[in-house]
Amino acid sequence: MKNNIYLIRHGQTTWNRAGRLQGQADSPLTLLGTQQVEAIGKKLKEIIGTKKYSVWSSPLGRTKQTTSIICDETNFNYENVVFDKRLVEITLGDRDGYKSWKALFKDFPKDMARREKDPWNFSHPNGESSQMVWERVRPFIEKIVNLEGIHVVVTHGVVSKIIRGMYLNLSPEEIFSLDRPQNAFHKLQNGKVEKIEVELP
Amino acid sequence: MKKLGPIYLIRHGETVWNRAARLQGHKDTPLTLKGIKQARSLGFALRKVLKNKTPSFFYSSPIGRAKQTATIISDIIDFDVEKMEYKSSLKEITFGDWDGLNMQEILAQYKTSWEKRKSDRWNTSPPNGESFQEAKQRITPILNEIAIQQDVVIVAHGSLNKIIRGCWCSLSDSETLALDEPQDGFYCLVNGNREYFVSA
Repeated sequence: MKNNIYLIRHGQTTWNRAGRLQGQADSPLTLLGTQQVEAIGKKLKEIIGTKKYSVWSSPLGRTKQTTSIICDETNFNYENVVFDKRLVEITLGDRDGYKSWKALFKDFPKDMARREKDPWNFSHPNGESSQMVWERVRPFIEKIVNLEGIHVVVTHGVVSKIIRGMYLNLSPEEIFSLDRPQNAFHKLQNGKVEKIEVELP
Repeated sequence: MKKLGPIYLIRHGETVWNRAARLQGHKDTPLTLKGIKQARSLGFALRKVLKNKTPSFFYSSPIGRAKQTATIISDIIDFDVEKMEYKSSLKEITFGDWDGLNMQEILAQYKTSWEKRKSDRWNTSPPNGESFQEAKQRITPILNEIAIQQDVVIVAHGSLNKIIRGCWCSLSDSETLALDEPQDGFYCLVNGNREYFVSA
């Protein structure tokens, strides 16, 4: 059975640019963010050509904005996108939208010390741990890798890392060290992950 | 109402539901690629009109498609997005139960209320929605504030922008209803109850 996943993170948002933590809070794509996504869409069209494919997307604002552009660049009908809640970003709970990582260390030293000890199982108050995200994403990925054909998945930084980690059987430490680019996307095929970079106009 | 201006009054770019001819109201869909390109063109046209000056105030509706458009425009005119003010009174008119429906669906499910509203669009609201008159009332206080500011950018919506233009130019209700809702340019509201169109 042939299966092939293209894993895309949303383009740069205003909070990405400002260093603000998003989690399940949301901000719109910047001008640069829209250009990144356009470039990714064009590259994807080049690769997929006229072959049939499915599109799966996180239902948060920034991923919907990204998915809409990808659909138009690749001539995919947005009405046929499957929005799946399991693809939403890790939530930092009470810290969603917090002004910066640096501020978290300064304002919540106890939480951050706890994180240091066991980052994989750490969660902010009312938030999710990486392990919890792993568990909600796993049934989605297990479904997708067992579907024939090409699948475009539009999601978020942390979720993208966890999906690649799951696909490659990586350890938590290895997953933390993965990148989460916005000027590139990843191809998952035959147990391998390939990074595909795009050029901005 | 005392009016200074100029106010640069902009509608969001084309969305998925604009393209599909669905009413949006308070519901939302993202901009299409065409809509993204319109937003960029609107930004460049505005930058030209502003002659690279930064506007004093930038207001946006808090609905997704308006924020998305406003963000692209603010990047192009170098306005710090942190200083943008989101005003809930700038939200689109809600069509209530019709939000998200297309014409065919409205006529199939709400023929009576559609006919009723058609006979007096200004004063009649869709089921659980807002009339133009109600929207005018909610927009009036903020418009009074904004009207005495200079170099103001507003990013909002089709029906709502018509009401703002109607107030600015002192138009009658029926004249206001007959205004257009372009996405390939914006209106510049200036002193003397006047407006002019800037093509993008």
